[in-house]
Amino acid sequence: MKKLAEFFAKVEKHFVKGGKFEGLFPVFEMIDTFILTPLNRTKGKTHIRDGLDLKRVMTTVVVALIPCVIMALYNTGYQANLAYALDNSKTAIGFRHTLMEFFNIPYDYKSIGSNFFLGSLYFFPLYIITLIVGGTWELLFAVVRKHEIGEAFLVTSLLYPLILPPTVPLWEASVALSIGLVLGKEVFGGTGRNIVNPALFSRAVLFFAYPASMSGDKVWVGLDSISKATPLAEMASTGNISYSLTDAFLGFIPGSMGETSTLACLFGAFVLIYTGIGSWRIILSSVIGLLGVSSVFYMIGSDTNYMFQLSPLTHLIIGGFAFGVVFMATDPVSASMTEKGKYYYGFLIGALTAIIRIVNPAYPEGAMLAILFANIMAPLIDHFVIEGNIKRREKKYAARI
Amino acid sequence: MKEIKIKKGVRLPLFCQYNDGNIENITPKSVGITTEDYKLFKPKLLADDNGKITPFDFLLQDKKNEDLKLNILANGTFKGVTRGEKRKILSACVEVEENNFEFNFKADKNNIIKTLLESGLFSAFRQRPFDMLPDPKNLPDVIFVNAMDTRPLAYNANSVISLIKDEFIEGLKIINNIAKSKVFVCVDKKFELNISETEKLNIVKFLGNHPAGLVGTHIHHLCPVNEKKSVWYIDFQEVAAIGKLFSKNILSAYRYIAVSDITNQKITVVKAPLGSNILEILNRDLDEDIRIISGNILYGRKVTKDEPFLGRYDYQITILNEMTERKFMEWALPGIDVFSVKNVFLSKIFGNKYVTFDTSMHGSIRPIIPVGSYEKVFPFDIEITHLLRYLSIGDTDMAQKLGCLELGEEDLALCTFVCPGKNDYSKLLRDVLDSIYHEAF
Repeated sequence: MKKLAEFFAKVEKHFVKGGKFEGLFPVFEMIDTFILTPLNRTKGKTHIRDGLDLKRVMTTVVVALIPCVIMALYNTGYQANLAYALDNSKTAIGFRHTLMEFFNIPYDYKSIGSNFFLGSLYFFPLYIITLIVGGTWELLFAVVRKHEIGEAFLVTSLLYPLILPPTVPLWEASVALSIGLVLGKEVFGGTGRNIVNPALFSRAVLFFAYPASMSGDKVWVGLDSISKATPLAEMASTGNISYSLTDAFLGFIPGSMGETSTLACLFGAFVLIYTGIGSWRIILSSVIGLLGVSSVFYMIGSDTNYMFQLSPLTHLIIGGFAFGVVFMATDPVSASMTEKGKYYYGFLIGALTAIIRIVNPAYPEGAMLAILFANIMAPLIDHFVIEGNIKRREKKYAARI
Repeated sequence: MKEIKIKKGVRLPLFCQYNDGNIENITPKSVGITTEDYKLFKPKLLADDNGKITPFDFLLQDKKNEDLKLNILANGTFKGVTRGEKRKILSACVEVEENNFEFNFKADKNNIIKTLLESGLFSAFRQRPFDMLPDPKNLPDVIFVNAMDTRPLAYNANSVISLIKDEFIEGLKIINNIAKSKVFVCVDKKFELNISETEKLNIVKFLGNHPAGLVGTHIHHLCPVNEKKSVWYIDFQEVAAIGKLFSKNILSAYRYIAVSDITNQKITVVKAPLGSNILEILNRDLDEDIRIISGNILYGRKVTKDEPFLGRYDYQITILNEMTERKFMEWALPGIDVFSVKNVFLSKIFGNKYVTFDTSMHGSIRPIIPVGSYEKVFPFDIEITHLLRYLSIGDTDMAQKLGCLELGEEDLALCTFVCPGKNDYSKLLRDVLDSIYHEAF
């Protein structure tokens, strides 16, 4: 380690002010501190520090996401292989099919290896392109602003492919991510200062800019022109769901790559709540909001709108609600920051998700829009909580000696 | 007796063997004043270099309030001041010539404030808001006496109180005469002294982890201050010194100080004069691998060659290892010997009782990421995350509305400690408090 430290110390002079590569200091700093703990000593009057830093915060979120990533890899391939079993005239197209043939991997939904391999061919290209595009923007803004590269983009870049359908074109995903990162985060000052969740905002850009790649029945299965509806879309159009609740809970259904498994999301929720990185208040109140509002609609009932008939418990299991609430709504920067405000913020997400899903005829899924709307409302919620606090404290001054 | 339970806060997993053997009397060769201890004090030099100094000679005077003067309780020679940027006086030093730190002083019980000002003991009082020396012309409605200590590795306040109980009780009588309406004596659960409460004199027990023992916590829960209302506060050892002055006519410079050596895992208690040279108390030189702190590891001043003196309000000296080694990919390590208030390290899961702390930042400076760490350790009814955000942009109006006037720098030390973005909120608070003060006065 000493030699490595000496090497970095030797190279550093080229990247600091006056050095040959002065402008690339953020890149050097990123690599240097990725490999070795920075030799940063406390300077002020607090001489020791808690071990938690932004790198550890982000690492914890990545750990929480691991089951979702595994399910994204497996289920994406599984859904494609399942579709192949029904219609073996359709295969993956382009480089994916070429690679399947090159490695002589059969389209077989019973083969775990085949499912993972085919799923990887959908997930990793999106993940890699997201890392490249996201990393480039982060680097560009870090160099221009002359600050260090934030670690948050590592989580954003992992969340983003998980909330996309497998067949989304890479260029469309890149354009939407660029717009989402620049307008959703960097223009506000970057990590820690964004108003909306950048990954979710990018998905919304993709949703509205390229609706053909983000909705409809043909985007959820990674085989050429195979049509399969998500459970929510099925319910909205036919009033029935052809998947068992167990499959929906475990995640063996079509949908955005990482969002299908409620079980994987529950693991993520456990990690985030146990470590204290995600707010249990937000998660709990979101669930209460969804259950409460959907129960009201369920009790009212409707013969023309099938979504009224979807039971509140099923609302929790299908669609992107679980993933959105666990990984998007709990984003500490775009969420409400006051403890009390988190209850209102979470409830708003749950209630809005139910309302959009049930009442709005255009979108059978509402979690994304609900969270984005709540992101924008979070400062207002905090404002009212803070005003309440200020008034309460003023009364306290008057009441005491 | 009123009891207040503080649920938030933290107990650091530190281990130090407490050595309660003989308490050594320290006789330093030099003593001094560090101006940083006196917030908003604009020092004017009153003494001449190499002139003879007695405890009754004042060395520094506040340019704004000439009643406020600072002295050194020792006989010796004034060796001058050290200066920093813009020739600001950092410290004043006296070379001790007589190893006696207790002096006869005729105290006048009918004119308490005058006696305190002339003896120099008035500087034991501080005022909230602003954490500064109070104006002796405006006596306070309320005085807080802090008779407990929850700071990391501090001494057991009750043991020290038992050594000075008579002086302490005498001192409380004097304090009772200064306050117009209330005196709150804040104690911990082990406080044993039998003091009868009156309508004016109130004993309040504070239970819980640090910062339950900080005066800011006491003030917030009992008598919060604002721009229109201020309170004074004082430590129990200073109350005892005042008691000794008025009951025995002895002006004593001696205070009990806990020396916490994290590097050797031991705490000793010594009796040292105010402003003692810390290197002489420790009998060692400055070392690059070791950090010596006047105060504790959460809030204290690093001892340097220019400012080696014990802080006026510090009853603790701490020795801590400097961080010298860069670890390989520490962000991915399980963290068996790292402490966090969040459950992100294996040390929490395995219930590691003690953790080795050094001066590592454990990361680089980043923006405020509000993952709820501040709320875990901050026991005030204040929206802390937003207050910290307003402090970081220097918004004095919102910071004031959110309650920054109730706070002293030490109250935000735990927020600095837990901050994942590694920001220093004590410093930000000081800047904002100074701005508010300069705008108002």
